[in-house]
Amino acid sequence: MIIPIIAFFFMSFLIGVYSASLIGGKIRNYYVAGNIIPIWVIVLSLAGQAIEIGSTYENGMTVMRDSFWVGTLMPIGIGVSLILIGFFFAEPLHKMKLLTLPDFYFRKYDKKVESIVSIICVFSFMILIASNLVGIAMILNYLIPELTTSLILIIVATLIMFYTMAGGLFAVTWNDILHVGVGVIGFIGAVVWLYCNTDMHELGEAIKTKLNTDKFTKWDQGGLSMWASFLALALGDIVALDFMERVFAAKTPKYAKISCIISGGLTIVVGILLAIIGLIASLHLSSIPEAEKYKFLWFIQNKIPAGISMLVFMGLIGACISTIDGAIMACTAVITKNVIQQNFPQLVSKKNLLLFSRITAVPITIGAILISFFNSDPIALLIFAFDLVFASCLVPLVLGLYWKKSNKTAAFWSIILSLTLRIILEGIIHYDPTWKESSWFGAQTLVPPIVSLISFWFIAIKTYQPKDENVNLV
Amino acid sequence: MLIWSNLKNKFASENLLWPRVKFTALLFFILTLGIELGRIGRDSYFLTTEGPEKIPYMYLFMAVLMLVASGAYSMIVDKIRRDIFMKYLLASGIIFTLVVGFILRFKIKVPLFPFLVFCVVETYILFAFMHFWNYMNYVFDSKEGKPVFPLIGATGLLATIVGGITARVIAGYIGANSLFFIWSGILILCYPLVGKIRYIVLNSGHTGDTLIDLDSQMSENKLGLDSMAKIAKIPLIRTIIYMSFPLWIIIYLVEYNYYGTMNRVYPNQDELAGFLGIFTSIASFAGLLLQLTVTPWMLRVLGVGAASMVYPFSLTLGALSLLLFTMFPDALGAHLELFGIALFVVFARFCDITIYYSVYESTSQLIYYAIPEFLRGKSRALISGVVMPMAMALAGGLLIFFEYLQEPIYNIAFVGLTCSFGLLVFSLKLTPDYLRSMLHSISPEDIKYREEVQKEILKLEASDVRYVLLGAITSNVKAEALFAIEKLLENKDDELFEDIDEVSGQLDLAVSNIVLSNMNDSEKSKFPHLVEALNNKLNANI
Repeated sequence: MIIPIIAFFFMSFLIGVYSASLIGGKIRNYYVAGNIIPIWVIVLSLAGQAIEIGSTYENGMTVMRDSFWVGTLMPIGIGVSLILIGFFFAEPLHKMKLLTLPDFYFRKYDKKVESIVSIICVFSFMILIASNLVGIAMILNYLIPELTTSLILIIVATLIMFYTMAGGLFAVTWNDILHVGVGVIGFIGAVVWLYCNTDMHELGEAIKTKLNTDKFTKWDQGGLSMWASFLALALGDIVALDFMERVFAAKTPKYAKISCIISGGLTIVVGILLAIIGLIASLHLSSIPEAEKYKFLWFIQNKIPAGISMLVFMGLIGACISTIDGAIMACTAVITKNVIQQNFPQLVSKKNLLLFSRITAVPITIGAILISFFNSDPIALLIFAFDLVFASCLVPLVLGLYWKKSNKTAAFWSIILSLTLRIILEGIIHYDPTWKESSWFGAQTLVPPIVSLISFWFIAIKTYQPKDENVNLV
Repeated sequence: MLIWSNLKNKFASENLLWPRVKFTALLFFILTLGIELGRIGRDSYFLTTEGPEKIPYMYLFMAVLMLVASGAYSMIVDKIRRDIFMKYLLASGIIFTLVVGFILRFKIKVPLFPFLVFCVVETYILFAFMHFWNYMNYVFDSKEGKPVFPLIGATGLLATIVGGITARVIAGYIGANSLFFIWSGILILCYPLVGKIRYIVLNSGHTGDTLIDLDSQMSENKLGLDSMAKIAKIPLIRTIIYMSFPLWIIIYLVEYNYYGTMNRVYPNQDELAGFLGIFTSIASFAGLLLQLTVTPWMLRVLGVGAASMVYPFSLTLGALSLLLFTMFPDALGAHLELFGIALFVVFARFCDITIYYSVYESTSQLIYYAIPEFLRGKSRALISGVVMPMAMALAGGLLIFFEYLQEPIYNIAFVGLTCSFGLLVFSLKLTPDYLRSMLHSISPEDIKYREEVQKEILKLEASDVRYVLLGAITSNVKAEALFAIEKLLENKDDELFEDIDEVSGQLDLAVSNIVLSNMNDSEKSKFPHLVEALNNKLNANI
């Protein structure tokens, strides 16, 4: 399996180097590929960002040992968020000709709100990168046990960082297409082969069992926690820097809208494919060695023809890489443009902006590596990443776009209040782990956005001035 | 007869175009026929003496040989008239094939002879084609080339079909080794044709890039040519270089897997040879149909750049087909049926050779017209003689490495797929780079052709149009620079002035004036450096 992995990374690297020549020293080419990306590229690139470790490996593994809906919660959640972006956000935000999502907070509110949102988003995305780094390290450690996960993590992160630094959004976009393409071929191949080689009666029985919805409908079985995770992904992901970066890079607002809706659908379809593999894998649980840590990966390697198995592995690896590169890219853009350039304009000259942007990828990557050393549960990291922005940044975005009375004071305080509450709740859970077993687990995700909404509305009403309505967003 | 008279009418012009077309097409037909026979002779000799598993080593050896030969070619290509060089090439081919024929006929023991024959024949074929097309660039100008080259390419395909069929007959009656003698006889036939073409060109009054201008071109060469590195900096050449590596890796991965798979389908050598011959004929026939229908249409409607994208897409399809083959567990079996999953591999090879010998060969020759005339020969030598052998060596090295690791076929196919993706990404820049270079290469007097190219530029994606036009605003040709700036200003935005600011020092006076007069007050306040630079230029001139 080493040769395909090397080929995968080498081609990504080569495309990165080649893309560097397309940037031509221009920062807008680095950030949004010159706003030139056609619709089909945006679709695949958005899907590349959306299909990550949770939608693939974790999804399959969860379905293998639990219910179909618990596994597909992640791809469906992320897919729904893309569809929501398509219907409600892509067109109006694209018309504003933004470079990054925090630009919206600056234009609608002020520099202070923009900076806070930027920092929250970047931190959230560092957690997302960490989540996928952990995922890719697990998969590669399974394939190459001679290498430790820590070493794999550092090597992979460094390689991805280098090609992202070199080629910017050009490199990231093209590589996403390669990664998604390989994954889709492999996953379809695996599903078709497994379907043709599985006993239909057994499969029917497994479907009946796996389609059980108790975990979503029964409070005592963790229903609140499931819905909280789903909403964190479906609504929290609306404030995803990487999705929005591609929305802004689309040629027209309409292209941006259509791309989001299609890629949302594609993400759900890919998630369902992986869930089907997991479902069929559950029929083979008894034949998988008890001591095997990565049962889903073992199943792929041993129960699927070698050619298809290789492609599925490459698809799983590609899903992680495509999310990591896009997330690094989005973070560098936000730090450079919305934090440094906005608050310390003298620090970096216009001439050195591109260089600075590239260098910013280094601390982002190091930060993500450190987070992944601290917590090695990819799903916990993934949901927490979107939990943060769901709690604090979603309400100011939605109301800022659709409610004329929204203003900077309301935005600022709602962010501070909800974020503080979210951190306190996380601290409580950390201090008392029995919470995780409680039926109320999930409230820590759902309460802060509600607080955010109420506080925003209340403060906006109290501090409303007619001039708030005259903010020119375009 | 109807086709003949149609062609005659189509190519009727004042510059003896039809005789030039007629005789060059005949020359190409004969040359390709000989090459096809020689190639079959070489393959059958090598496969029976050494076996197919040694082929990756041949890629490596050939690469080294081609590198050396290309160095020699680039040193002399601009010092000798194209037609004379063609004659030298034919003469060396005649001597070589005769020597090989006699050695084989009299069973003289020469160490490593099969390897030597394989490499020399392949290198000779490469240079024969390379120089033929180089020669054609002087017999026809770029406007004539568009309709003529597909026709010439079609005659080559026809020769491949005829060669494939006749080789079997000849080998059956007088033995495969005698194919080398037949090849040498065919090369002799080419001799008078080269002389005839030279005679027609000299009498045609044709004022394009023909042999008449060669003396003056050679003196220009001495001034303009610095090194290969300089040529590699031309954006179009750089893109072709980027494309060459994945392209040749895919070609050889597909070829290697094709031979390996067909060997499992037909373990018997004779059956294998029969299948290979039939397949070549079918693929060539399909190529011929494409050459006569799709290629001219593509060149006319889509342009040279867009038509050049067909081969990368076709190779990607081939690589994908190969990968699909490897997804089946039976792909690893010792024996395969042709009418089963093996068809995926046959299709992969079909995607390669059918398009290569039709659309690709014609368009890739036309691409070179975008290179300034005095750099054309060297550019061709750089790509065909240096980059291509390096890519071949890399492909050969990879295959040897995979053999050494006993890498399964699906991993090799996956490498092919990643390469094909890289190829697609790199080739996206080909059309804008081609048009950008083309615009620079057109002579200032050729207004009509310039307008045609400008129309083709405006058909591109908006971002590519901007890329091409930004390259043109600093042109020395006033018409080109004015056209570019006018079109750019039709969709002006802040980013455009930012881009113009970067090249403000190289702008022509008239262009500077147009830019300044199209800037409103707000734009002037946003770009004070640009305004100052333009004002300084205008004031200095006053």
